[in-house]
Amino acid sequence: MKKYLTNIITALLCFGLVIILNFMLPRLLPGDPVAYLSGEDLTVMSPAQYEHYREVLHLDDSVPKQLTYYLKSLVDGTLGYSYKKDDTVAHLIGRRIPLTLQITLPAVLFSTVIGLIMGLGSGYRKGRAFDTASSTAMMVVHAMPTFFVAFLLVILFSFKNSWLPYAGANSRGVEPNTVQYVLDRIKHLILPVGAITIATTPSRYLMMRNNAALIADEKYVLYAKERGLSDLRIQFGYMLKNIAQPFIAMVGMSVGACVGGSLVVENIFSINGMGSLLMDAVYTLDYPLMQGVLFITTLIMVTSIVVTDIICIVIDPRVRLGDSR
Amino acid sequence: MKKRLLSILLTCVMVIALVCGCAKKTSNNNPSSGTTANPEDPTKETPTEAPAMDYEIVIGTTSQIEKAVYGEYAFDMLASGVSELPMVYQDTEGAFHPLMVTYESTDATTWTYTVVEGMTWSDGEKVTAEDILFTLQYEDANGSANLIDQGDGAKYTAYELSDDKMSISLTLSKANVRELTNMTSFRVVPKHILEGNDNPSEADLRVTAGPFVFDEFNANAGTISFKVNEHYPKKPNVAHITYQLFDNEDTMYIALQKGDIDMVWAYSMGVAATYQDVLAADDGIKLVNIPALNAPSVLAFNNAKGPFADINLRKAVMYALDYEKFKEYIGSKYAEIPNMGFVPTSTVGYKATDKLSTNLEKAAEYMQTAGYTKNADGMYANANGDVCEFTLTIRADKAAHVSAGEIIKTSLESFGIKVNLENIDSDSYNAKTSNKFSEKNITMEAAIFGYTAAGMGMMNGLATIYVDGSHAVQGGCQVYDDKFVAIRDEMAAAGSIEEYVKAAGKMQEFYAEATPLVGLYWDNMMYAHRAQWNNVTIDAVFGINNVNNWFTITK
Repeated sequence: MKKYLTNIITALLCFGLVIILNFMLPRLLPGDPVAYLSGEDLTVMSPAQYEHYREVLHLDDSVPKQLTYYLKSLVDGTLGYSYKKDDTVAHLIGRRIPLTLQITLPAVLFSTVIGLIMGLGSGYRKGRAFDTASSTAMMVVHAMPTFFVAFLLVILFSFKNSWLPYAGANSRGVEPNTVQYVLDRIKHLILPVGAITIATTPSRYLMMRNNAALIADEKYVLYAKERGLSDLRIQFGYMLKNIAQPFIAMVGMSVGACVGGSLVVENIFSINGMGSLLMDAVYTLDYPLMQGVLFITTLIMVTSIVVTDIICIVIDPRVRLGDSR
Repeated sequence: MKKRLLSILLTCVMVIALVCGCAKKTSNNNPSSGTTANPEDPTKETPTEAPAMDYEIVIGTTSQIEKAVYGEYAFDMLASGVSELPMVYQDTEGAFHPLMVTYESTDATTWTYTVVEGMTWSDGEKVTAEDILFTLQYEDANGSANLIDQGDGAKYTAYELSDDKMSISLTLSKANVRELTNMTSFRVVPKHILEGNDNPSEADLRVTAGPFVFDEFNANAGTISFKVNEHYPKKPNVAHITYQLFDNEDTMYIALQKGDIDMVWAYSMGVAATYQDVLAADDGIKLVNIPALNAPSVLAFNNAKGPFADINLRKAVMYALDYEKFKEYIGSKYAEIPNMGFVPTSTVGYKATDKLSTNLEKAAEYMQTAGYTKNADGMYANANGDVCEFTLTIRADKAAHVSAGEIIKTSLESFGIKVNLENIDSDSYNAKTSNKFSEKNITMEAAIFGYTAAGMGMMNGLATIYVDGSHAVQGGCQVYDDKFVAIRDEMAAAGSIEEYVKAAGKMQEFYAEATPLVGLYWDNMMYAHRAQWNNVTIDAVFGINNVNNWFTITK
């Protein structure tokens, strides 16, 4: 219990540290902070524009006062202003994040389910043909970079066979808020979701398989087998409870990582999500936007870590009751 | 437990069945869904060929567009080829032609622009010369660098509108025979919409006067489409143009090969060098190759201070470089070794000068004249034993420039000159290489630049803004030489194109003689489109995505 509470407090402290670093970074980098914070090219900026940016960015104020303005923008939800895109960072992220979640959440779900079921089954029957075949296959896939998997899917399902679309999140001309629109969206998301699922399943599988294999010969498992309980009941009713914690922690961390980490897949499938927004911000040196994306990614990451730790406390009686024993 | 698992599995099967079922149907209007005719697949239905004047074209682009309104740079560049009609256009030979306006000037100081008859805004209002005047004021107020004089003083000293308000005469503060260069990307905005309108709506910002008018921006589908502007005086051969936005260049080129898009375009960029061979080998694709007006990689010396204030060192470096390597490792297969006169062959006023070449003997002679001899380590050193070395400043975010820096280092160090590479961020780079951001204290010894076609042509042209030490913004080469200044002034004072060409020739001779900078390679601009399209027109500024193309293109 104490360990998990420490983890939660550490996560929150890290979040605070990231906010401070986020604020300090453009001010500590060599060069002019006006260029970083406005995202504009100084070579085409007139002196009047330069002065305007210094004023609206409060760069002539003291650093603590600038930090206050920054914190205020986080609290009021605007997350700063992207001069390059002429919009608040919150609006820009708000428009993009639903698409990213539509890709990453199903991918996390599918890879978790597949990794869990296959890993548990393989570990339970370690050394058998299924275990050998699936573990070898997973290790091969694990070695493939995500972009390779994505291009493989594009070539197979879009270019060699025109089965699935490969660009955008919808087809042009489909009326929004209709069943056809929803189905069209699902069709567009199959390949990106599939690519992330394929790329992330092996790590989940291997963790679950190895943990299951470790306890497959434990006395309580053997006793359950002797009692004649079904394999499914032994796996999900007995073994899973004892090896779920690291798996849950891994899945929880991956939710946060996926928000910024679907960058490659969004880029290949031309989906305007957080990944492409971040990439755009990096290419155009739009620091306010980069700061905003980093803030949101950190927020989601910290939240998922905290939630994961709470779930671990709830599901494991050893943790829940540990302090009182 | 079993029942629960069974129900979960059943649900999964149903979802997969649903998804697979959906996958078999594809939308007809989505270029990404693979329904466009694929010439390589005879089993697919080939759409009936569109009758003349009614083509639909899909253009793939990697432009990043967020709002698709006037004022968003990437959209403006894209829309310049369809709806935001520039004043004039420049063909690939460098000649200017009327587009929205006709033009005349007798002294290159006063330029009269007359709106072409029938030019009408997409809301039905007539385009007038007052719109041109308003645009100049609007651009000025909104901080556009397009028409602001980058030297001292105002660009225009006077204007005069004709009685019928269809012509405007603009008087420049000094003559400029190449003033039309500025007009190729100058897009007029509607005065009746934007005057006094501090918060123009998206619809306001989409009132245009080109042959096409904005139709739809679908951010989720990643498409921007344009339909014919019924008010335009001529009807184009194309009825509908859709731009498919790609985040990934590889996917875009595969889409072109598959036939899902008709052509690819990105402003000021041709087909990526890595894809040129692949596309050239595809019978379904035609490539159009035109000489570029830019200088993609330039070794610029600080001619005023540091080691390269000595012309002998500049010459030694010029002769010691291996130009074949820049062509081979950085340029496309169409890349060429530049001339000593620096500017590409398609530049207005181009004059043939000697090609750059590696000549280590000549380089060694120049090193000796500069007072350097080889030491025991094979490096050149002066009488005090100091090794000849310099710092080469490079923008770290420009991959091609970083590569060029490595090639320069390899060539020169094998010759005997030490090169210290300084790869830095853009702001630090600007602070070392630009008059404006160094407060007229350029500290670089040598740097790698990439000069855009617009920059090469700015003010007097021939990249003089980068060479001229007194230029308010650029001036990286720090040349204050009297001869250079005299030729520059001669170019500026030219009252006719003949006079300008004569002075431009002298400038190229000066570049060849004084070596203030060295072009590392020239490259061509290559455009790609599906082979079924014929009579494709290319424009010097906007490439394949230009207004004229939609009037000439046939299938």
